[in-house]
Amino acid sequence: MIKNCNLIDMAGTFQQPRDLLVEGSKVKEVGEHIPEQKGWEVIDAAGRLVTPGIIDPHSHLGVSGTGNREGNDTNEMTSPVTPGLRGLDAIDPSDPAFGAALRNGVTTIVTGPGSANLIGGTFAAVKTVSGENPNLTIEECVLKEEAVMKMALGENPKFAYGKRQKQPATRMMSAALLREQLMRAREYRQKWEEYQRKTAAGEETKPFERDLAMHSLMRVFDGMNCKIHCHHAVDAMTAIRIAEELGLRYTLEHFSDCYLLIDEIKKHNCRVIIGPLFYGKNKLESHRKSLKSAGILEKNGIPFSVMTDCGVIPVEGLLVQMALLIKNGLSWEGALKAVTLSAAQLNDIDDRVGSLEPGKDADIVIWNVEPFDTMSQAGVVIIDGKVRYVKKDGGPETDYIGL
Amino acid sequence: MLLIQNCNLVNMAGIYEQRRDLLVEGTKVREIADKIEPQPGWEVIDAAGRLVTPGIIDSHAHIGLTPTGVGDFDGNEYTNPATPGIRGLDALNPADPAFDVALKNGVTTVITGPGSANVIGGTFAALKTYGKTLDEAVINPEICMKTALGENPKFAYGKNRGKAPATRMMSAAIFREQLMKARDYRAKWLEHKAKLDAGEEAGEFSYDLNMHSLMRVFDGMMVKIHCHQADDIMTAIRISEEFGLRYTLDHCTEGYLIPEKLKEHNCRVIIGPIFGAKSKFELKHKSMNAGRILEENGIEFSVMTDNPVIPMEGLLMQLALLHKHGMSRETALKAVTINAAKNVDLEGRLGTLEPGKDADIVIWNVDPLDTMSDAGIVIIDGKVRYEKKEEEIDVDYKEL
Repeated sequence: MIKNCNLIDMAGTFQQPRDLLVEGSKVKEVGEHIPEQKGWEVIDAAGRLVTPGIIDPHSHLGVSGTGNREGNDTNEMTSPVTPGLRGLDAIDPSDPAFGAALRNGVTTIVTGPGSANLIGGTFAAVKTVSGENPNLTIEECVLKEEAVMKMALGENPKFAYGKRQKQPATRMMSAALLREQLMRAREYRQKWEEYQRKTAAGEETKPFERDLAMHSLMRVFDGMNCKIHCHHAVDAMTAIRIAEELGLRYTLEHFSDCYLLIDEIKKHNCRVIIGPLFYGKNKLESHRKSLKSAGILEKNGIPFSVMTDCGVIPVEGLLVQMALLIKNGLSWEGALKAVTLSAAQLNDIDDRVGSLEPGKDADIVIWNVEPFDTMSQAGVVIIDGKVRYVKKDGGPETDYIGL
Repeated sequence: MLLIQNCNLVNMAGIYEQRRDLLVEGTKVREIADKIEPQPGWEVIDAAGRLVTPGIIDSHAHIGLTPTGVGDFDGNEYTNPATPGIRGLDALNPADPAFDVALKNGVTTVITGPGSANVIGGTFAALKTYGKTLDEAVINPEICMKTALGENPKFAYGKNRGKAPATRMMSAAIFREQLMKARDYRAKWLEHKAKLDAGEEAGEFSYDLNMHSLMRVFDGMMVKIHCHQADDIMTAIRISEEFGLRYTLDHCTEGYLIPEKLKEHNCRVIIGPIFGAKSKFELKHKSMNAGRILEENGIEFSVMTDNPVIPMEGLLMQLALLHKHGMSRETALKAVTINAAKNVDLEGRLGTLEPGKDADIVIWNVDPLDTMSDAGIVIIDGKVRYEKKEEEIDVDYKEL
């Protein structure tokens, strides 16, 4: 039990004194006063701010490696369409960045392939428990093995391939390859459904020729979210056009120009994950990127979350980034929502995380110093109902542990 | 004359958070006193008790060469690992939108130039952060010679182009060979020049642009040595001492692991960027604790952005994070004022607010080390160059 919380549960309670009861790995009860029972472990939040664990909705942590090049498995730059790949298969739980995440109150990350490929493969949602024990296997850390399908438009695929005289060299080819793959996947899915129907009905049917890539990609026609990397307005509109043509669920990731296309976003009911906003603008497509975009999205009621794209911004930078967004017009409440509930909803993991409610995962942070301050400090971090990190007295520990 | 009244002044020369008035004449500080009576005709700004500091100095960046918002840039001359004859000045684009952001964040002087692909990359320029053309802004077109050790030259040449250097041995050898040649060239040049000055027959001199540039490091031009790993730091020290060079250790990422060595060799250190991904092996031990540990060991240092690695708006945030990890506030302010000026041979003009020095002054609406830091008024060379408006949340980039 965690008593005397100044609780924000992202489910209606905003900075109210509450007690919070955890059973196993789930939240059991949230109440004004929960009488202690014998045998319970009790933590006294002593009036400190208590929030759901922070979620980084788009990252390459665990896949990109920290402190070396050999561990960098972010981009399979051998073919521009690789839907059969899974970020899951490349995540290294012993990456010290998991520890940095944990000590900064980030309890879930959604990580996977980069944006060199038009279709890169799936992202996994992972708890940062290996931040406490780097010897865990990925099975012991994963929340959802394949949460969303990563896609990318814009400059990155063109430069990854076109520069090497391969396809795509232009945005036209990028869009064409993407549509072609999706159309093939749609046909494949029909054949697969037909095959399944026949076998279930006991009918004669030829053996089905499986294609790993298509078998993976066809899931976007069953509602798997497409995580579409785009910066420039042009690429965002292309993403919307293709997604609507093929009936896909999607989020627009990065979307540097989002604040210039508010009407379009509203018209097409787009959902957006912006960021990273705190780094150099090293490409033409991201040159209009603005710290003001979060405040503008909030003001217009558009569902959005904020990413680090770790290691573009290291995971420990997520909170600092939110502080800069608040400085540039985003509300404090909006900032917290962006990296808790919205982050979960836009990755289809909100059945488990993103808010503190009975039945959901007990991923809880008790803050010594509030999250969106440069001096932010997570005092106690609980994941799946167990304390994974307690800040000891002395200097800050938000940095990487000695390697 | 410009009078700034009621400053809560930190002048980095003995006055720390004291109430003062500050008088500017032309481009220089004229007087600092408890109270200065305004005279008719003077422009008067009331700091109203706000913190007033010298303008912030970024002692190592690539602003203007690696401009914000375009993929094509002029940061690195990837055709030859030794290019001492080239000048960052010649690729500097003052239209880089990052200058505007720098100004709005209280950064008044930047030191910028070539990247770290080359073992000897060329010279850096020092400039103020205002002005449409370079001749307005530049205060020293060639202030130091950029060099680099470690992984970048190896990957730029050995890995990507199949050329030398492919190893650290070759990087150091190229560095030393160039210095040896420059030293010999300088001796020949001085002899030739002596003859000319004495009116004697001097004969023809075979000019070499690269050597003519590099030889200046034997006349005291600061050598800026990019190095991350402890062994690269020691190589930098070893070579510099062999050739009697004045040098700064830039990044000095693992410097906090060998502070006794830095002290022993009286090294000048510029740390940063501390905030960023550890994308290569030599960054493995990059740590926010570096500021605190260097301070504890009595080592004076400045802090860089390496813009655009950390964008200009990140310099203050980086200091705040170092402060969070135990570095004192005073050291944080020193790191981007007087220590930065000293590390780039500009302490004669910059880094403190004292009579006779440049009137580069920031009046802070919100403390520089605060998350919500806010430079209210930025004065460069005695004139207000930026003033934060009431409803403005515009520390971000202008519409392009």
